Amino acid sequence: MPMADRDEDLILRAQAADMDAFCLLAKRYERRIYSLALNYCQNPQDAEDLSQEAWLKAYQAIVTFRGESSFYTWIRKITINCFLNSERAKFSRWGNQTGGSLDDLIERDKELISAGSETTLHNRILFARVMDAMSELTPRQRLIFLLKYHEGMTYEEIATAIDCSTGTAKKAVARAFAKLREQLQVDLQANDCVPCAAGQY
Amino acid sequence: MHNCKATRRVLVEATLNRGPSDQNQALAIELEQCAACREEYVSMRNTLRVTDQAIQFALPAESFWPEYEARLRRRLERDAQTVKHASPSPAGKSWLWLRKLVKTSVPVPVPLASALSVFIILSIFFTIHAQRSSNAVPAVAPPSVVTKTVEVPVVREKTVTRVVYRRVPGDLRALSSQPSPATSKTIIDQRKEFRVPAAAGLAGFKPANEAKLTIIKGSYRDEK
Repeated sequence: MPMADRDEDLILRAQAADMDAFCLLAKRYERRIYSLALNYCQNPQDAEDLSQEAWLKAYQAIVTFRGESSFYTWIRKITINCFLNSERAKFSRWGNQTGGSLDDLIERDKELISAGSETTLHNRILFARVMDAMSELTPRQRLIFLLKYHEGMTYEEIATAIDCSTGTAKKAVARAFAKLREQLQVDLQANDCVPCAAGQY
Repeated sequence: MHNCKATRRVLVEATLNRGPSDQNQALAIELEQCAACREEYVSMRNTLRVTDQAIQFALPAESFWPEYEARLRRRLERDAQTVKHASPSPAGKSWLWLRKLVKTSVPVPVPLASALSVFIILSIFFTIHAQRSSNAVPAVAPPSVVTKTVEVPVVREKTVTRVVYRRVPGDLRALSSQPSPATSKTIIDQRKEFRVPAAAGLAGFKPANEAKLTIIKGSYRDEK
């Protein structure tokens, strides 16, 4: 890997107010941050706003980065803080953004069905159901579950990141998991099609 | 002995860790033994698989990212412009520098920090204490009353009056030894006449060289 491409060099350049270097850094981690934001706020528009806000704060604070942790850990911490701050604001649910229930979603995707894109429709329904199930969790439960499952953080790391005890983090993960199972109603015979597995479609 | 309750407690962790690892061999054996626990595990795995699938689907297409990056860059530039416009004056810069200095943290070992804190606190305490002592008006110590019995020798001067009787040529006793109503007036007159020269009559008197004193010990009460 060339020297200029190393995170450390890009960070040094970014600390010297080199925006190009910072954008290169952002390009490396933007997908992971965006994915985390999307799973947290369940809305593409909110996810973009939230993730870009995190990058903006990181740019403003890049001079304070001391390299005590990896750059991704640092930006993830900033993102988590953005999440916690945004808990006050009510994020609109997937249903609100799409204009209502799953039926509305299916209606709007009839064109896709006619075009033979059944897989796309299936995935959209699947996504809607998962997002619906996730929305049943409290923002904090959702965040803890995402940090555990998606980010692979330990309970101690989660507890430090969101300022709670490890016991609270463990309980939150267990409850979130139970709620997800209950909402998705996935049984042994479940295949990729959750709606069919739930016996609703 | 298989315990479903205990097994299910660790199932969540095992599922989130993407299946039983080498350390979870015991759990794998438990799952093989109990169909109900195995079903529970498979159900959990399916839940996560479905969630994963939905999340993967939700990720935007490749065409999304150039636009996303452009929007991010525009936002950063806008923010940089705002910061430039709001660049502080020299006074503001020094204020910012001061704030930065105040906010600067230096990692110090805990024992050293504790010792420094104790030293500073003690210094402040003693400084204040010393200032109070110097500023304070010297207080007059309240008179202390000490009762002490001291024997003081009292010198009592006694005036010893010696009455000296002198026989005069015309003895009055001779006069008074033969009182008679007829001569009483005459005797009184004679006494008056006798006293006049008595003051000068002690001129030839010579007191004895030694006075004989008799001291009777006793308190003043005894004198009553």
